[in-house]
Amino acid sequence: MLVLLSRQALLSFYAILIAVIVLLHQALPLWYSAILVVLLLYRWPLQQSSSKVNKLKRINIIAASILLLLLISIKQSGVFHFMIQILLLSATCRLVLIHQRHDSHQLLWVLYFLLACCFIFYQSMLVSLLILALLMFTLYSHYQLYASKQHKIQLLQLGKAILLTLPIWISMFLLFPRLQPLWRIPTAETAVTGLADSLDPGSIENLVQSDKLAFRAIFEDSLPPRQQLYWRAKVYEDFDGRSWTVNQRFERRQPASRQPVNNNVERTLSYQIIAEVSNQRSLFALGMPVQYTSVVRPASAYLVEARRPVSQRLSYQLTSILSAVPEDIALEQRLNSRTVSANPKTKALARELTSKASSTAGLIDQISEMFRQQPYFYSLNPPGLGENSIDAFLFDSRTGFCSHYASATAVLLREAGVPARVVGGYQGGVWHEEQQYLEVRQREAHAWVEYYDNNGWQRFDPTAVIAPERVLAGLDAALSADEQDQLQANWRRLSAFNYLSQQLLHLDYYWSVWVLGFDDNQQHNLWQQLKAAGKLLALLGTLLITVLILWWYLHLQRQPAEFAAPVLLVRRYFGKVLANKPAGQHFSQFIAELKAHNLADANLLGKIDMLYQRAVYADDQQALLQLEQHLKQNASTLARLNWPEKQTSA
Amino acid sequence: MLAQLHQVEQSLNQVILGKQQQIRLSLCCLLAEGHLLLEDLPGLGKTTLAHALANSLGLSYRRVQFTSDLLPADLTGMSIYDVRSQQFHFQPGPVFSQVLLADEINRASPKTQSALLEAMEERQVSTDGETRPLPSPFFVIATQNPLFHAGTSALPESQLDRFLMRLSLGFPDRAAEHKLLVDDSKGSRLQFLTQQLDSDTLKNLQKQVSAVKVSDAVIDYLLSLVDASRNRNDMLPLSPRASKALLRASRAHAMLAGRDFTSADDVQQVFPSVAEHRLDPRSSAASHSLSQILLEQTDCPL
Repeated sequence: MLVLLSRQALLSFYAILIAVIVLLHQALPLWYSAILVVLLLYRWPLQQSSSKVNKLKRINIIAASILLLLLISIKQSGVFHFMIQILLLSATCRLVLIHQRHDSHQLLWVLYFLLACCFIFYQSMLVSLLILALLMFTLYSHYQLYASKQHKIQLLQLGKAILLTLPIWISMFLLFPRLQPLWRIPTAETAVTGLADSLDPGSIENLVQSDKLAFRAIFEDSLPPRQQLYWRAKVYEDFDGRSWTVNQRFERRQPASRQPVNNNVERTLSYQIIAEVSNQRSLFALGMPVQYTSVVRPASAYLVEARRPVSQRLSYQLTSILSAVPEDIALEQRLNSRTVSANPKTKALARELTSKASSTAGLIDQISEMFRQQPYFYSLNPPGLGENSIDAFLFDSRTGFCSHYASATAVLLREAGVPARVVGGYQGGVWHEEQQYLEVRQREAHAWVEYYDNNGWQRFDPTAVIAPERVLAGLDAALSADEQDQLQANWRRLSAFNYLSQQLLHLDYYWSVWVLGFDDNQQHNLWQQLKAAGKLLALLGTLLITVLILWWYLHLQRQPAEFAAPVLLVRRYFGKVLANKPAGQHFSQFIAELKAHNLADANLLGKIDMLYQRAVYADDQQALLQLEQHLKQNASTLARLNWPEKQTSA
Repeated sequence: MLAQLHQVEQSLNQVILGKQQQIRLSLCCLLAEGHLLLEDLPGLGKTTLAHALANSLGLSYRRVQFTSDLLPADLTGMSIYDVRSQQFHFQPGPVFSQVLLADEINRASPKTQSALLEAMEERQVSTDGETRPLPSPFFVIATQNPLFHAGTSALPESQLDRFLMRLSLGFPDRAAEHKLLVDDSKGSRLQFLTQQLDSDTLKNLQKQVSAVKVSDAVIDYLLSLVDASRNRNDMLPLSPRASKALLRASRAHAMLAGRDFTSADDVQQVFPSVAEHRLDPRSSAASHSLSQILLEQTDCPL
């Protein structure tokens, strides 16, 4: 049947397709998006009978040439993006050619598929809601193609349909196996966030100005004290006199899993981390991690890293021992004893301090004492340092942020002959009591020192000496009022806005825990729980079924019987022959015809007919009983009644 | 009493030959206190049947030949000034009788036709601001020529609805017509008719009709027939008046068949004559196409 599409339907297809193109822009080169838009503009005169419509040949040629271009650029875009591009091409060409209702089928199915593809690129709650809204709109448009014109009823029926399918959605989400992707999903080339591979003086100061979320942590037991919350992310081992970088020259072996050396002594700590998108591999861990979930793997210096750069929110489970990190490779001590001869004053100071101290611990005490006694200041805006940055910091400016102190301490220790390195990561976090999670933002970025002593890398945080508030209460407590203002954007001072964004963050947290975090493990757990609750469920199920049956039975009771008793009797005993009765014929008339075909039983049939008439028309109970008797006695005869086959020639 | 009724039926069958079905239905109609419309080509015995019915039931009857210049007052009567008593006296028209034979009713003007409306439904006549009851029982037996005949004005739906049944006699079969021709030389067929009933007996019979039992199942079937007409758009829907008429006619049919209960067969037998002119006022009485469709397509569970 040829049904033309309404202008409204066309417009909604346009809106959906353009929204999908915008959502999938990561998969599309700019030139390709431009071509799609031009194609769409080509069809803009939205008349069904537009002269431009239906030139199938031309569109085919255009599509083929675009396909060729896409094939040429497949190396850059990758197979997955190529597939999305082809789908978008087909959807666009379909829309350009669309003419009648029948044409919109392919378009709609491709649109549904593309909308599902959007979830590959976006997992945040708000965009997911947007995609869902688009899906609803597509469903609505689809429905409208076939619905009658009453708007309200349509929405109502659509709502009903969605409500009916909701249990299927949920059970699919809960029970469908989480399959590994069939092809590699390419990561988007977006900015890397978080701590970089090199630590320049001033880089952490910049980082803490950002209010962005770094990760969230959920602890299995209670929250450890704040002084323990040193989230290790990067270990900087190379120092060039000015900045620290991650050592990449030595290929470190990566053991599959490390067994805890002395787990009988230390308390282990289990926690889950939901890392935000950083497009880096490095992840966050406390102390020495001993157990990993499969999505992460151990990295050098007892760090943790993801299997590929984190381009989607990543949730992983860790168990750590909050102790000194043992030596990872034999080379490590030597690696971290290298010094650069750029800071002569520091060298002299180190020599002086070593002579006073008897052990490494004593040396640390000396350094702490020095920072505490002498006028050192903690500031977000330290003055610029010259060529010999460590000397300038330790003896002239004496004002710095955590990275300055960490860097200076590490250099000082190395000059004193103690292997030392700078560790970058996050310290502390904001604990949300009600939601039971720790929120760690970029502003919690921190740097501290690890030195080798007692067969392990001991943590030493010089910032804790100069500004203990930073560790105990967070960054804001350690900063002056001016500096706090510097950190807080104007809009964040509005408490209502603050509150709202905080609530949104909490919602986002639940979203990532319950929806994104629902992985194989969780699914397995769910099955286990279902199994454990099997008896209860069976009981509930039986109860439900019983209630349903009861309800059905009562319902049946309440309704009057569809047919009178004699009618039911006759139907039961006459059975198949009765199928030959025309709809409009009454039983007596049929009996009369039946008699003609079954002359032998004519008497019986006559008797039955008479009783039936009295029973059904005169409500004669006596006749009803007799009728039942007669029918019962002659059941076999009645089952053998003849009815001539219909003559096909007639 | 039922025996008398059967005698009436027999003698009618001797006057109108070979039309048992129609005669039974027409008796049905009168027992159900309904008005009867006979539609046929001229010369098929409409007027004879009307006469015979009135005669054998022993009712006073008046016959009015409807013509285009017939006025309402010619039917209902009028007040005439009496010079001697110097007063108006109401001179009752032909409508004041037990049976009114309205011959060729569709030749009269619509104005006159509708003057019959009140008389038929209310069984009373209002003239000069006075309402006068009609005698009881009161029947209108009307005859009409098919609509396509010249000089006819169709009865409006409202008036058709007031006739309980519309019947058509149709041509007699060959044997019946042969007998008719042979007997005709012996004199008028109306000689067979004698008065079989009086008006009191008729009233009793009509009361008995109401006593005929109707089971719920039959009423359900009747309602599904009526409902079926309401869910289609190729016919006019049947009104509750029609369903009442249908039930009454079915009861009368059951009584004529000698039963004290109504069966689905009774409903099916009277349905075409009761329903056809209401389903399609423009149809001819001989066709029962619409009512047949309803009968065939409506499931009869009984």
